Amino acid sequence: MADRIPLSKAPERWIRKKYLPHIWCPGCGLGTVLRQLVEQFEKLGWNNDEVVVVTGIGCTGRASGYVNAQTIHTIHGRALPTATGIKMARPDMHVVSLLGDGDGVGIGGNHFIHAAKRNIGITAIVVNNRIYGMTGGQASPTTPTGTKSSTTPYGNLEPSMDISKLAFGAGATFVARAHTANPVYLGQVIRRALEHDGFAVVEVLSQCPTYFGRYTGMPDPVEMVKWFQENTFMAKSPYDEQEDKIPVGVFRDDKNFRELSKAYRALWEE
Amino acid sequence: MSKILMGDIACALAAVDAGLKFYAGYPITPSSEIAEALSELLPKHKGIYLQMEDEIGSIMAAIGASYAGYPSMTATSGPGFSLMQEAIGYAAMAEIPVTIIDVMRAGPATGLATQIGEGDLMQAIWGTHGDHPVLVFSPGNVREFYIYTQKALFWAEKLRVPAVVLADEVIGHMKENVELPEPIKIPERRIPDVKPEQYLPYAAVDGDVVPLPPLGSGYLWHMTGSAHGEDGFPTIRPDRVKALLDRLISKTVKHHNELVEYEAYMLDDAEVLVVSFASMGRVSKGVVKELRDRGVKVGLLTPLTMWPFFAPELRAVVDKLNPKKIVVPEINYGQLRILVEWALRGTSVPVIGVNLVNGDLIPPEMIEEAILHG
Amino acid sequence: MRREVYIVGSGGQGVVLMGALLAEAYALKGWNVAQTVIYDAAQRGGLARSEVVVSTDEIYFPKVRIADVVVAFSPDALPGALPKIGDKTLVMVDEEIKDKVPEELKAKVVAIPFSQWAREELHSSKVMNMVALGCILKALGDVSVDEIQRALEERFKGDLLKLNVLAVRMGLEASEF
Repeated sequence: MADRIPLSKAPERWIRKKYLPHIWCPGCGLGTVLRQLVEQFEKLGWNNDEVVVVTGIGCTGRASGYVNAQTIHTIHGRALPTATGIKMARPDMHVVSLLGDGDGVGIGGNHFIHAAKRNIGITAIVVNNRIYGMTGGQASPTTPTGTKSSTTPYGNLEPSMDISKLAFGAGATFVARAHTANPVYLGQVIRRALEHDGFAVVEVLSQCPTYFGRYTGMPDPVEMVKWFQENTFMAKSPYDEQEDKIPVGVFRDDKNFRELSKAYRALWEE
Repeated sequence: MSKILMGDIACALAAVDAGLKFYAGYPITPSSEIAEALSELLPKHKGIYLQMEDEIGSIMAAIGASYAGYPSMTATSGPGFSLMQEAIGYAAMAEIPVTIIDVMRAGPATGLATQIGEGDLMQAIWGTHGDHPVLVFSPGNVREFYIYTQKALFWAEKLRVPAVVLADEVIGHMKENVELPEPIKIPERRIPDVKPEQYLPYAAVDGDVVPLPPLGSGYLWHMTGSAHGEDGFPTIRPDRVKALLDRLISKTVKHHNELVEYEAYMLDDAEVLVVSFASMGRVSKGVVKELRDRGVKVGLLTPLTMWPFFAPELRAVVDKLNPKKIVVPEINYGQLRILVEWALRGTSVPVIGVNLVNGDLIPPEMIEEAILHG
Repeated sequence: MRREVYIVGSGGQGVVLMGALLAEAYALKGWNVAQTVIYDAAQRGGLARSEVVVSTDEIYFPKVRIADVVVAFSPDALPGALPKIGDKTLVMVDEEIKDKVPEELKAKVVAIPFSQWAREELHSSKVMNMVALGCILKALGDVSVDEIQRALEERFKGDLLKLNVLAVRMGLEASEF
């Protein structure tokens, strides 16, 4: 875990500096995710006008505005169907969708399932901070059982949703989980997802020190990042178990399929 | 050569003839024939048909494809149209052209799934939250369904607004013999006059919004449903928010004369004026014709553009004719009547509704009764 | 000149096809046509109502007001058709449902063995709807079997086309009413 992030020119080319400073809290994990995403764009040698970044609403939703690409900030939960329309129209575009846990599997949960089922060539990065940050710390679909939030003052009674298992079960052809405590690994996983031809899901465990951290007794982002290190393990499947830890890794990387927008082009030829 | 066409099929043909390249939808009676026809036709025209998981996904996919340069539409009926409302506001705010066909059935809720209603007028004009520009056209027969589908697609692209075509179950499912007119083609996107670094996606040129650039042409702009400046980046600065909303609202106002279409029938010396739309427009026309044959001085106005509403035009007719009353037959409890009363505010002409929602067309006798004795 | 035909039956009995063919035949003769359908939610077995309005003038009201001809294959459909039946309306029902016709209609109804003829003469009970269509043509007297045949050619080929044309001809040439 002592890897150092090499200096890079990616932010110069891929971040809209005129819109900084960003709106995110100090210590938020979104900066790490965004940095790793644009690093991969640079490493893959993509042009800015070949990349479409689509987001929904919430803290993660704001990420698109900072990327120097063709960027779309849609309404809550609807980033994936919007991205689906874009990819179907322009299979030559690299379409990336950044989703939060509420946006991606709460309000947008059905779109998430169906994007996976369609195997449309979109990279969906789900930044899972396990709480609704932008609206003030309400419980999200991934808030752990028992956790207090501004809407679960007596502790969350509901079981939490496992995004990787959901993606796995819905048939996403690439499924991985990583976290912000190891940005190098996170970058590697994002890159593999970007290179994947079908629907790729990267669930990123990310810290929200302002709300989730405060409610769970970890208001210091460093503590939260450490928690990710100590409470995860490398696994081959989202169903692998090791004590109470969370499995991390590339769970599926299937290559044996025809991506939907390409399949549709093939239909034109017939 | 005249041919027999079902309204929904005419709509699908109109879209393809106009240059539609993308359709996303979710099955719902009485609009499903549009989806079925396009699922067969679009791939043959290098276009895309996609069945989505629900109506929200459908309209958002259409917005996405439209953003990417594919002229897009979706079709639905009342329940699905309700689900699309937030996205219609998004299309208005982000200024992405999209056309929504709503083949109205009787509501509320599931209502009468296979039978006519005309109760979506208010929702078409004001369904989404916040003031917003939207175009609403309403055909009264199969041929008009063809024409106004194309006009909706044309104006949506031209003004970068959502456009709605309000048909109804009778028009959608009816087969009529029609002569199809020359198609109206959707305008093509072109590279903006300014360089990418100078491009402002939400700037005004002569009061209209700048054209959308093709995707992948170097224009790296940001699109959002949040209040934004001319560069597309979210802002809460009051002056910029005001400028944005003023410009959005002015779109339909500015183009009122080009957008507003209506049919005037036997208005000369009319003492009673009938105002009616969609299927009831044609039914009313029959009643007016029959009564004129019997010497009754009655005339008809049928709006084909429901929004922007033909308020000044209606007002001018009423000022000229000074009718004893206005009769508004519609298969709802008075949605068009409210618009008529609003257009005529300050005058003393009584406006009488003929309203019946039972799954069928309103019988001509009811309209006749209102004209003669209402 | 305006004709109005109201056809009711169960889903799957070919009610919608009858209406479509009738409309197309009149259109081929240069008439204006408007054909509408009302279904129940059931895809099979629910009531289906097909309304055909044809006119030499523009059609404003596109549905049946007072029918010139009503055809019913199912007794359940008749009560709903009552408002469309006037003094001069010819109501034809399949002979097999004659006994189930509502009392107030019995005097008006002509029972014709559509299904029996189709079954016994043509060995296909399915084309009972085409036999009935032939009877409608005879009752209205505006279009001939030729127009129906042209409309049928858009849908059927070979033996199936021949069978359908034969069935229409059988209804048209029947002398029972």
